[in-house]
Amino acid sequence: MTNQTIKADMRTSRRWRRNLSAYRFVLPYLIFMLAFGLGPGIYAILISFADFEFGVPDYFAAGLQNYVTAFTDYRFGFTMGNIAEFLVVSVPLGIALVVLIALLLHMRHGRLSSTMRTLFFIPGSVTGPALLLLAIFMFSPLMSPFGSLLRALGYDSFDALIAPQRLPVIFTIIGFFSGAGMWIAIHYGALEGISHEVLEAARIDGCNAWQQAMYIKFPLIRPYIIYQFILIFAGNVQLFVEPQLLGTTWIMANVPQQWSPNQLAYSFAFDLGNFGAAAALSLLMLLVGLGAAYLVVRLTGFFDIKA
Amino acid sequence: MFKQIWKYLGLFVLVSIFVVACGKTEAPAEITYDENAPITVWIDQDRQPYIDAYKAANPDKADLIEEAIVDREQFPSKVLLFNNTNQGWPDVVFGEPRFVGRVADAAHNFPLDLKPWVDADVLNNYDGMAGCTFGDQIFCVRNDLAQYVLYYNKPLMDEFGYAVPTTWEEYQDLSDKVAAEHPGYLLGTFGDGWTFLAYFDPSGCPSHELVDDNTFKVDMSDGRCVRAAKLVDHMIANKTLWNTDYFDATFVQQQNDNKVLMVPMASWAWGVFNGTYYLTAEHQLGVSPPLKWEDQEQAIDVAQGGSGWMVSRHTKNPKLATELIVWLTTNEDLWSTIPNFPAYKPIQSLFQDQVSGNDIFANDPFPAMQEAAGLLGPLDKWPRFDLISPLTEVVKGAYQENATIESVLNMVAEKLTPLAQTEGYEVVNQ
Repeated sequence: MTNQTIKADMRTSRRWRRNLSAYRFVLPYLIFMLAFGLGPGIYAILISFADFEFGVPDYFAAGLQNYVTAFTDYRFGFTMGNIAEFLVVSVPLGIALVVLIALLLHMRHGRLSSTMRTLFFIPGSVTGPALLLLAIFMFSPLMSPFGSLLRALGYDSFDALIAPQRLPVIFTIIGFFSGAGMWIAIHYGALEGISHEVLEAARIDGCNAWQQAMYIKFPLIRPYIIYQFILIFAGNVQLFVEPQLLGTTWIMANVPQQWSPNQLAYSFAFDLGNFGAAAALSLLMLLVGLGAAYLVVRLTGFFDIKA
Repeated sequence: MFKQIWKYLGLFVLVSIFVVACGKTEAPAEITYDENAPITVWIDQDRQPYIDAYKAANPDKADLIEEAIVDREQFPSKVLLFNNTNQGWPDVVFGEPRFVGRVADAAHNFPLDLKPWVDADVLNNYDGMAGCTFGDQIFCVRNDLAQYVLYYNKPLMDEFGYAVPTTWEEYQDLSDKVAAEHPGYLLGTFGDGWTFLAYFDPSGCPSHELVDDNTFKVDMSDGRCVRAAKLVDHMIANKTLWNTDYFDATFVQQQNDNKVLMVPMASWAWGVFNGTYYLTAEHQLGVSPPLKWEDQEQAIDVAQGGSGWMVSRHTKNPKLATELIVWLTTNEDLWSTIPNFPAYKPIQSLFQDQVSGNDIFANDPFPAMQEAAGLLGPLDKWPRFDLISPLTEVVKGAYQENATIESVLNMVAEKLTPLAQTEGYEVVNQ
């Protein structure tokens, strides 16, 4: 062993020791990510090449057949179109409304602001399926507190309202109320973090509340908005519970059986027993989410270290 | 640093793929039967007393039977997961015949052919076996039937001076009379997949006919489909049909406002008339046999539900499993206590003792129900996919577009054909 390698070894071991506590902090997360994130992902890659004709996986026997099956299914284009429409409506609208509400709440501190934040947060504390049941009541003109509004718009019954062409908007409304509270709290926290000196300087320079919001606060919480975009996009690509539950025999709304790509993947797995095609489709949806995140991070320089 | 992470990650992926692929599942070995092997029975809450009754009657077998209360909607997907791990299947499963169809294909490969295990005299004595029969194999025995009968409001019919119709033609004529003389009164409802079947199956309309276990026939241009569509369109137009499923709050309201003159519904539905859904006065509920079309020799009846029992082909103890399901479906003491219509013909009269004395009825419901049980047709057999959701989409879509049912009939074929093809059926329209 030469002197140089010994020195290099010592350097690495010193660095390793220095970082050890950091690694310890990361370890629990890493274990869970491997077990419940990366592990199933790798398994999905594996079974996407497996043949399931007789229920039992025959590894590497299918080649690319599962991908062909999934991507040429008669519902593939339909579900992709639906999710695209939903994303176009739900992501920009969701982000814009949440940021607007957070900025408005931050303009006036005090009891009203904190009460409103709590109110916005309440629907988010209800889990997905239960929230959907709540939404069904809200959308039923006979029972809803908004019943007269719905009837004024010409929707006399739940069945008249829930039609395939209105689903992207309906799911956006449900998704907004379930997620908005959390994001309002996060953006509000970010706004609280803005230095008082900056805001005071702006005020002395003659900035009114709106100008402060637009030119000072908004640019300073931009990283949080990008973060919200990535998570909302990845979450909404995976839309499943809302269309699945609305279409069950118990609710039986006019929702096509496989409306979102995730429902189609579920149907591949649990109606047809083709876990391979389900995995292929799930991987595609993962790629869509990752791709969008990558683009946004690249275009905005989200991870650039600030000087 | 980043490069190193990728290196480790790549290694991890490779190792995992290797490990998983090497743990490849073995081909299933030939099962050796054992008459003392324990069996697991999958049931719902309501069926638990049945199993307990069997245990009480057969104490020597009691220890061998383990009950598991499950949500059977998940049963077909659970079978796939068990197939993946090659273990864990239940031995006996309770469920509607639509589940039998779903687990009888090559991927699920679940039910055991009962013919070698159950006496032919017994097997031939059940009504409604179409849903259990696949080629020359029998994959389940029926527990109870959910054959449709015509429920009518006797006091109201008497008051208006109407006779209960016996054919669909008379039913339509009556609708015109009601529309003219007593507008606002109803003769049924048409608003989802089940109500679609309630009007189209009795006509013999081939909207979901299983020619054999691999051939699915849908031909909505058939005259029998068109006449059923014309019938419902006529009655939607003259407002004698409501536009929801049976349990929608608005239809329940119509029932409770005493506006429903009659409605075709399943044999179990008398149970929802006594307050669980509809409020019904004593001696109000009349029951009459299913309607027929004039050109039919006898009516074709339809069912909404009705259950059965199947045995797993993976069971180690088929003798006990089949003994159990025969006992559960034929035992007289047990069926003297069950409020469902038994599928096993020799004990059907036991049901009469239970319902005939009920004050809700205006007449003895049993003769109509027994007649209906024998009229269940070949359409009472489920394909490997759900029919109700796509049919519901068609019906609700028509209402939303203000279209007639006749004009959207082709949508039924458009929705069901690719579904059936995806499930591996050859789809024909002749």
